[in-house]
Amino acid sequence: MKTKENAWANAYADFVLRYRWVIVTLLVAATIVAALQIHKLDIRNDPDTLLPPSNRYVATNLYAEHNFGMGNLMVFALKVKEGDIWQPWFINKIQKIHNELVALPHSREANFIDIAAQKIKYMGADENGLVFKRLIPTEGISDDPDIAKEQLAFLREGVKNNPVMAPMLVSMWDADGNRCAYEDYNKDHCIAKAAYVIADYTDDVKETYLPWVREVRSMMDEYAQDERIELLVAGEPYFLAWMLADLVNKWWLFAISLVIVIVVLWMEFRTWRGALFPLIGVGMTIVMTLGLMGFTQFKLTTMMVLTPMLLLAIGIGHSVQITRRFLLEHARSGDCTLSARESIRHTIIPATLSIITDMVGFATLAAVDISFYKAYAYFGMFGMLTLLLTTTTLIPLLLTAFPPSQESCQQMKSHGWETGVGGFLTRLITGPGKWIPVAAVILVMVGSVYFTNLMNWKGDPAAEVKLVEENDIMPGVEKGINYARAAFKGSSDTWKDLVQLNEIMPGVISVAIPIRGKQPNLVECLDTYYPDDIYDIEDPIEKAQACDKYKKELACWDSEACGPQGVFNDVDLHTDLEKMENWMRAHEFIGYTGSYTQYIRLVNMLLAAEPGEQPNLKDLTVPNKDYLLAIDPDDDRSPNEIVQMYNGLLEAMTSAGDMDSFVDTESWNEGVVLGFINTMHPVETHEVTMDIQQYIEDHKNEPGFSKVHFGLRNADTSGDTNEMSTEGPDYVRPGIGGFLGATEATREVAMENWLIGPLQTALAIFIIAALMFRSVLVSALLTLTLFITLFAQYGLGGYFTSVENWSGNLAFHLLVTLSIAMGLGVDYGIYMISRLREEMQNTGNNWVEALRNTQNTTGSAVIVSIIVLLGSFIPLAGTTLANTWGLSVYIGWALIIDVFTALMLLPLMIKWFKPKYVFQR
Amino acid sequence: MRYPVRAGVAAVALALTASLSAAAGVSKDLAYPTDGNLTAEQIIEQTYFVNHFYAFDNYAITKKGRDITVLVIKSRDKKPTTNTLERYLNNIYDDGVIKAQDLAIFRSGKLKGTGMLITDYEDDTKSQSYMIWLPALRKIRRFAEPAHDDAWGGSDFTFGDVTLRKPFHENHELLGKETFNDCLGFIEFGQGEHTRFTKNLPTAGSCDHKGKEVYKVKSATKFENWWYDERVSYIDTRTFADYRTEYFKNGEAIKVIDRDWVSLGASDDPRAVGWGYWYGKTLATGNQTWAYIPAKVNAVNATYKKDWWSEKTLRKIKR
Repeated sequence: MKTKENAWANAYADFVLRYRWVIVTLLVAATIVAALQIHKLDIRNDPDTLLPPSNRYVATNLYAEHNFGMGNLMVFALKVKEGDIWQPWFINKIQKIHNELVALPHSREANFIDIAAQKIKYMGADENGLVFKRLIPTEGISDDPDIAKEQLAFLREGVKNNPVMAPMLVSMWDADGNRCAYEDYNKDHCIAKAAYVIADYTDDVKETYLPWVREVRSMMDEYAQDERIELLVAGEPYFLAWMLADLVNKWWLFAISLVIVIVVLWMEFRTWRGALFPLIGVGMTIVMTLGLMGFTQFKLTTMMVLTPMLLLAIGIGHSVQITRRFLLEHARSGDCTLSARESIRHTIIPATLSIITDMVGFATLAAVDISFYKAYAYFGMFGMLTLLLTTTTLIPLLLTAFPPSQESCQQMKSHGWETGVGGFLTRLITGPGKWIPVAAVILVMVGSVYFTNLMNWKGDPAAEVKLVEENDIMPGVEKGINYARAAFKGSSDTWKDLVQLNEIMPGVISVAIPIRGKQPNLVECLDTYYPDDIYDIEDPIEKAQACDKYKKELACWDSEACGPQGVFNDVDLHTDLEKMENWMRAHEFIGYTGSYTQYIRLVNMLLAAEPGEQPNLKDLTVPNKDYLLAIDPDDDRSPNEIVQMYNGLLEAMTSAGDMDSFVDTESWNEGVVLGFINTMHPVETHEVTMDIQQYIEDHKNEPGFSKVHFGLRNADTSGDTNEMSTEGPDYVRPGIGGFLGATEATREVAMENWLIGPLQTALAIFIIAALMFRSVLVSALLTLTLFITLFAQYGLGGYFTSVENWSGNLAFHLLVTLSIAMGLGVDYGIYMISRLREEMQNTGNNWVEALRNTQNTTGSAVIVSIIVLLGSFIPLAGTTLANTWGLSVYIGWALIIDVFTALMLLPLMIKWFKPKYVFQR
Repeated sequence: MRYPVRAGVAAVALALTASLSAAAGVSKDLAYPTDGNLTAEQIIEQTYFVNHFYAFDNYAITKKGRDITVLVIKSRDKKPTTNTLERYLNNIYDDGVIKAQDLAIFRSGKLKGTGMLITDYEDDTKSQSYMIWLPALRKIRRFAEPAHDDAWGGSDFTFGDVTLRKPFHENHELLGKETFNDCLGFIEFGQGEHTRFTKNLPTAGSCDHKGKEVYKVKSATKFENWWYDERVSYIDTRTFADYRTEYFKNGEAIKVIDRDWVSLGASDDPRAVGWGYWYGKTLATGNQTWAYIPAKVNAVNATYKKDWWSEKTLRKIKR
């Protein structure tokens, strides 16, 4: 750290000055090359690529999406303001929306669920027998009032009498404004007030989010003009695409941010060079970093907007230091080359060290298996590293090429406000006022203890469970996520729509529970078949034994002789699934469920009705032995054969793909239970996840469930058969998928990293600072200030938790701010200590004078840096996005505290502990 | 002034007659055309006649040894599902009520032993009736006529393609005559995709109709918001068998159905032909369907018990 005598710094300064034009040319060339890569930026905002793929919930979710689709659902809900939905104009509007949503790129029409969808049928009986018919004619409801009346009556009947699908199609309310229970949907007192179009899109939509969402918004604008209705739109692709669009639409916020930076730079330097060159340098760094992002085609999220804004803020901070130093040297000497040499050799070492600590903050993020953490790490480190060239090196070189006059630099010697602030801080710290910063820090700490509920000092029983079972020493800080609020602010229309939608729909968070038969399907016999006498065996047990025997002998399966393979041909599984769905539907936080078993129940209800009778709800059940014997104690029909026949009928009566969202119709050995969760509260989503997993644990040995695996226990299906699936210390409960699974995965990742991640960063910074200053004491003092900031950030998370602001609780996307802020925040301390040492040497160890000089120069530069940084956060905080708002709030809060401690607490501690690094003569 | 009134009445009468005859469907006695200059409507009526086997009293696809009709449905990159079936069609009814009855029996798979009796009525405005024997339930159930755009047996064919679409459901336009210069489509099975019912299927599409003269007829649907806007059929100028139909929506091809036709004899009528196979492909999804009828299993104008097309036969089907 002996900058004056540092040979490396001198050599570096001499080298860059000698080859200044080569360096400038290379930097410009690199910037142009990088700029040409920016168009390849892949900002897709894909939660599937955010979380570690090995996490059981993530793996289960991806498995369910890959095998059964329904991973990109969007809902258009149309609420009628007057009367009910059974009006021609309303129904035709729903049909039009259906057709337009189908026409959007990447739609999966077979998965659409709404009254206009082909697969959603009227199911009843008339004089011709059972009727399966479209609910709405393809040409829409007729203009002829008599025909329209008939068509609407048919539609209404069809919806009300479809107990399986009705809750997914319409929302019914009673006259008092209470939502009807689903079992009451066929009652007359329930009035249909809203209808939905649930649309599904392929993953390809993620590559065209911007044009796609613009089409969606244009539809929304068109339909919203109709005053008879209220339109609510939600769903993952819309949500994620709109986040991107919102960021792009708010480009002017970035312009404001730039203007603020220019104004601050102008006020600081009062010269166009001082305002322009830092911007050029930082701009080159941003272009290079964006170019690298484009070149690598890393899948990015909107949260990556933090990186260029941080580079802007940090880069400007470095620029201020180097520009100020150059101008001061130039004011003194009037020699540009000498000024450049002096400024570079004085600044390059602390700049390098502070950039190293910045990089450490980013680098530790690379250790976490989350793609956007890694993106922050790689691109953050790259960007920070380039700042050494584009600011600390380039700016003095540019100033030698376009030198300011010596006179103009005279005014740089000192701004009035700088000496004012420096003097005030010095007086405060050296007088009795020194206890004010100490008291302020104590206050922040006490507040943090309060809000984090440290070690559950409040004695909250729920917090105690978290403390004991999950070692969560700060149970007051919620680490789970409300994805919607983490994405959008509470004031945004997107969030408000979602809240309303959650009230009228069964729920807005999906849950998917994949099910796989334990017995894999054997290859079908192709040339040699089971002997013909097997067809004559009537006793089911005897037949099963014979089938088993020939299965082993021939190593193939003869489905003609022994029936179809696949666990979904087994009534036991459907019986257990029916029980499970009944339990789920009764759960406080589960709005509704669906599975292939519901089709079996429905077909049974329809086929149980004798000719001329209407289907009866009592037959809406799986046709198992109990059901058959309850009707006729002598019934000897085979429930398995009935289920297999229903499967065959459904295969024959539906279009390709109609059932693929619930069952694999190729193997009949895999399926999925889908559900809708009616809460987004992070505590409740965790609770319902645990409840579902507990239900599976409690019932996994029942006749049907004993034949299947649920979810995934690790990245793939290997967990079905290894130690993870057998009772013991390595046993792992299978994960569940859907957005609920993603939500739980997010919580799990946050629980793993919320404390250990920042502590690792702190340790790395402690070691680097100790090596840098060759002083454990200095490093310890710096690290102490970081811990103060860190705890204050936890306190902030506790505060947001206490007021249930789920845009601000410490979910996984905001955890990055802890490490990043630590790396950035230590810079101020490093600059202060370096300067204090220099001033102590210059003043002959006169503490007060050294402190005043430090506060006047470095202190004011730190203040300018923080103003620039907060200004550059305007775009992050100003959109409707909550994730970028959260990043700016946490980092902003941390850096304010960092500046506070660097300017006031750190000098106090230096004075009290007198580290040799500063005080040695 | 009287003349215009009379002319107006005549025009209305003519229009009424024309619309009635269009809505009346195709007669089982439709004569083979002697004049070569046919309109698009006349060609389509002849094709309807051929596809409904009106040249025969009855027509069946039965089981002969191991030979049986196979319906193969294959989604892209997936193993196919196969069903085997028999079919018995009777066109001889003179009660003025029933036009034809069609008995289908599934002989393999999950629907093994399931039988379906479909009754088509002389009155074209009356829906077909579907009676199904469900062996596992040991019950018969009746179903109303499905929608034209519903998938037939879960395949790429719709009920409209197979049976329900009538000439008056579309507006037809003759695009001209040309030579059919292509082999028909078929499913090419990949490694490990065969089942016991597909392993003996042909490994190439039929090229028997290459070089034949065909009418090219464009038929635009009258249904609104329909799954296709128009279809183009390639129809043999002699037999009126349609070899290929291409479906279009918004100007883009969306589906193709190829039909291989074989001579069934038993009549001098050139229209006395039957299906060798149907092949369909939905272009957007890549799903394919192939209904292959071995030549041996065709039977025409055979003798059946009087009550063969009845509930009694359904109940007797063995699983």
